[in-house]
Amino acid sequence: MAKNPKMPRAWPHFAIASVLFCFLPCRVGEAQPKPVRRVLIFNEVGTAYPGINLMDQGIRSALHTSPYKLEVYREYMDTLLFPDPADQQRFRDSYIRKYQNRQPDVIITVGPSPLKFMLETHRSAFPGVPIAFCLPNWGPGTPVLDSDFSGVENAFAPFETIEAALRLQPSTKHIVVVGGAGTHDKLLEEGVRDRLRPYERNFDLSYLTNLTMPDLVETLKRLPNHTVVLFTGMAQDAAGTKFVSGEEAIEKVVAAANAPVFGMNDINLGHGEVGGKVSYIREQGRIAGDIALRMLNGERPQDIRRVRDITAYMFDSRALQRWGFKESDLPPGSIVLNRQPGFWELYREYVFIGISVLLAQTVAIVALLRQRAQRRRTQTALLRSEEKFAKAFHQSPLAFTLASLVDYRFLEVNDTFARYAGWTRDEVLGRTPLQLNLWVDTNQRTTFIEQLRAEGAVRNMELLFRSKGGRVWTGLVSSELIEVSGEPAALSLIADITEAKRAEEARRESEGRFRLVANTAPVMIWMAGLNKLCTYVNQPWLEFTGRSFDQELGNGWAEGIHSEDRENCLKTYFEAFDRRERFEEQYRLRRHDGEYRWIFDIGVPRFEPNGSFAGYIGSCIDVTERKEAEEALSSVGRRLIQAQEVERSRIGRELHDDINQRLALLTVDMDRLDQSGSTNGFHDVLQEFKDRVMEIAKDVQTLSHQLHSSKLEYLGLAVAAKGFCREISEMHNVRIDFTQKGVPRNLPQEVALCVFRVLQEGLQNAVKYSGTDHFEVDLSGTSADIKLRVRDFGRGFSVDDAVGTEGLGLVSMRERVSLVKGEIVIESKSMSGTEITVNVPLPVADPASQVTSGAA
Amino acid sequence: MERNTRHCPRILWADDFPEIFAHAERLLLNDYEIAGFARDGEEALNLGLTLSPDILLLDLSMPILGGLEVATRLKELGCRSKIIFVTVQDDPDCVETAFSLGASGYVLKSRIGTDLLPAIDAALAGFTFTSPFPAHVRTTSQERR
Repeated sequence: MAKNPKMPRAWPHFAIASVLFCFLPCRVGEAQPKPVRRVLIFNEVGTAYPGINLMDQGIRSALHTSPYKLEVYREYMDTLLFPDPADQQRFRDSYIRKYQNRQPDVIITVGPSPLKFMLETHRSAFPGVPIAFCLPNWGPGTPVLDSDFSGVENAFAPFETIEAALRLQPSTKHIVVVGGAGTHDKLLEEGVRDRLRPYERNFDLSYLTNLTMPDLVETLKRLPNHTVVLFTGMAQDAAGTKFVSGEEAIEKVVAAANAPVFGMNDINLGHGEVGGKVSYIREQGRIAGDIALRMLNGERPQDIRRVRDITAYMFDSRALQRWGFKESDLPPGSIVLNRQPGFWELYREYVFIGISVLLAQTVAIVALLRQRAQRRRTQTALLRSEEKFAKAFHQSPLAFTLASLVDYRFLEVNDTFARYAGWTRDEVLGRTPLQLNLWVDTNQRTTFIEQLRAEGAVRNMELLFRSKGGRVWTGLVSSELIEVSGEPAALSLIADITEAKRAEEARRESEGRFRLVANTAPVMIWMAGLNKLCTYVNQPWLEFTGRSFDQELGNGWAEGIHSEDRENCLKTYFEAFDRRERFEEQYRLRRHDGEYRWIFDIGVPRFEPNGSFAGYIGSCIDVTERKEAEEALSSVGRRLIQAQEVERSRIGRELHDDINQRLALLTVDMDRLDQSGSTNGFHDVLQEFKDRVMEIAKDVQTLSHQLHSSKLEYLGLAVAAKGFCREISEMHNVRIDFTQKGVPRNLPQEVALCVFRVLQEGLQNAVKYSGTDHFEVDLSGTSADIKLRVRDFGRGFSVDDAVGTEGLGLVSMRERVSLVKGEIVIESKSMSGTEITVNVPLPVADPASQVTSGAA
Repeated sequence: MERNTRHCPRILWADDFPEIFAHAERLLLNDYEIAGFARDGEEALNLGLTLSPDILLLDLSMPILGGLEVATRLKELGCRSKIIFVTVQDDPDCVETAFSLGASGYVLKSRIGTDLLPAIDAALAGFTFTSPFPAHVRTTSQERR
């Protein structure tokens, strides 16, 4: 910490300078007269104000170094005593007149009013005279000035001052700002309020700035605890009382306040104020003087930089002591004024002598003490060791008991046991477990004691205990038979494993549930551990493979995979496993009967509750049927194309081999008639030709009818079906009983066509394969659906076999019916005939528009 | 001769096979007024309603609406034209249906030359007419005349 580096050091210099000054004038005067320069200083108020005084000291200290002979003129605006603007104007006029014919070389303004005066008049009254200013305004800030001005700006650091105050008094809760009610006071207060805003949130910040001095004094006497006061200065109170010297106010404030008073100016230091980051007025004066000198030396004001922030952490040692503040808590670089010499500085020699005597005595005593210390160390070590064991015993998370095996009383138990048992330690000591009703099962007690006596120790025996409140808990007990004071005793270590057992039971139950579910699920389930090896398969798996559980474990399950699939299957599994990804695959697995069945297997990684990977679980289903159905379906397309080709070639043959041939023959016959030229029997021949043409036309019509039933279109399903039955009946000479009831006339075309095609296919098949000559066709309808039943009484067939073979009949019937969202049931039994039932739903329509064929 | 003196009946012919109209003109022009031709069922329905011909000749198979459908709707709408079906369909079910809808005649196209004029005459006189069907076709509606 710097020890008032500026002020005390200045004194010796000043003293030496003064002495030298006494000798110098004659020599200098003799040698060369210095050029004269005039310095005019305008002060805000008189030197009774300590600020003006300090400022003037600073200015003087700078001007001393001038190479010129200086004529210094001081004027005072006295704005506090003469605040009336008219008075001020008179002063201004008089000063202007006064220096009209004695223009200064430089002007220094101290305070805002002189600066304002210069700002308004210097161009006319003091043209070209450079002006150095200090204290340009009452608050902090930069005045707007022209190129004739330079100087020192005010600096106030209320924020940092409070910060320093809080360092010294960390318990502070209240901050009280004390200031005056004068114009200048108010200007300053505004700046302070602005800077202290950050403290508003965490502190009770109040302003005592509008009180009369007596009121203020009374208030300051009763400040709450944990308060710091910031005094911003007071030129006038609310009653208008002026405090001309300035010191009056601070002394009253400090004397009244029951809390430390911090400040913003170095002026008040030494009057009881603690200090703070204060505006360093004297230094500001020195700098202003320095600037004035540079102006005298010819530097242009605009080239001289304005100086800001001349503040310093300054504290009054006596005030610090009064409030019990420690210098070590001051901000680094703080200046402490008025420090008293310490005890050490006053009595250093006495202390030296005293210490020497003491030292000699100490050497003798130390030797004696060492001997004693050694003994004590041994004792302490013993105590510590004992303490360590006592702590281990009492604070162990496991219960310890020491019980006599003579009378079974507890000799010692630790707190953990007391907690388990629900008794206090004092309640337990001296009593037996039976007295405490500790044993749930006395047989366990007998077993425990007998084993302990017989084997000298019991290890990990699970025993049931009852606590004071009746809670039954399970202890895992290990005991050792020891001797205490010559008598046998049991030293037991007990762990409460009730929770662990409960968790274990829950786990077992959960596992049991899983196995139950897994074994009753209609799928095969497997599990694998971290090493990819199988750890579990469920009952359905075992039933499928016909192997034992142990056979399937590890890699055993893979033995049943078809040799062509095994490599791919394991590759998929291993790769997914390494990436911890879900996988799906199909492979053939040998069933218990030796048949390889297609298996669809889905495996997913499983994780422990804590998120760690635990292996895989998977499920499998036998998809052989599905796969076969898929294959059958995929062959339908091929068969459809084949069928189309067969049909085309049939039509082609019919047209070419029959119709075309007959037309050719007819043409030949007509040519022959033409060439013969005979008219005999012409009419008969023509009639024969006509008959042949009509025959051909009829056959073409039949062919076209087979391809597309125009009847169905013109006459509706019922008539077309009836006609078809009649045609078949006539063609094959069989009996077909056709009935129809309530079939709507205007069926959707796709529905009518579907039912008609099923009838065609079904009836033709029946006629072809049933081996009988009696058939029934029933067609019935409502507004909601159409039903067709085609029945024969023949030999029947296997529906499954028929679907799988090349024939398209059944497949196409099913496809057609499913396209119109209908249902088809084909029932056939050997020697009992076949029945095809089709049910097709009708789209909902306006019932009025439905005309049944019965009505037509 | 009688035909020339009486009022000339108006005929509408609906068929999607335009070559037939050449025959129509040759057959009918002397004795009847051809009110118009229709090439599909919808046109036949519209012209039937707007022209109100004495005789409407309808093919069974036509685009948009078939002949039976046209006949049904015309009757529903109160059209009083006599309807004669002219078709290649020699199916007895068709004949039956046609007459059940109130048709006045059923003429096979192969017999237009001989049967059409008698059929029209029969219709105008309030009778019905059916072409004789080939031997292989059994029908219950022969000789309705």
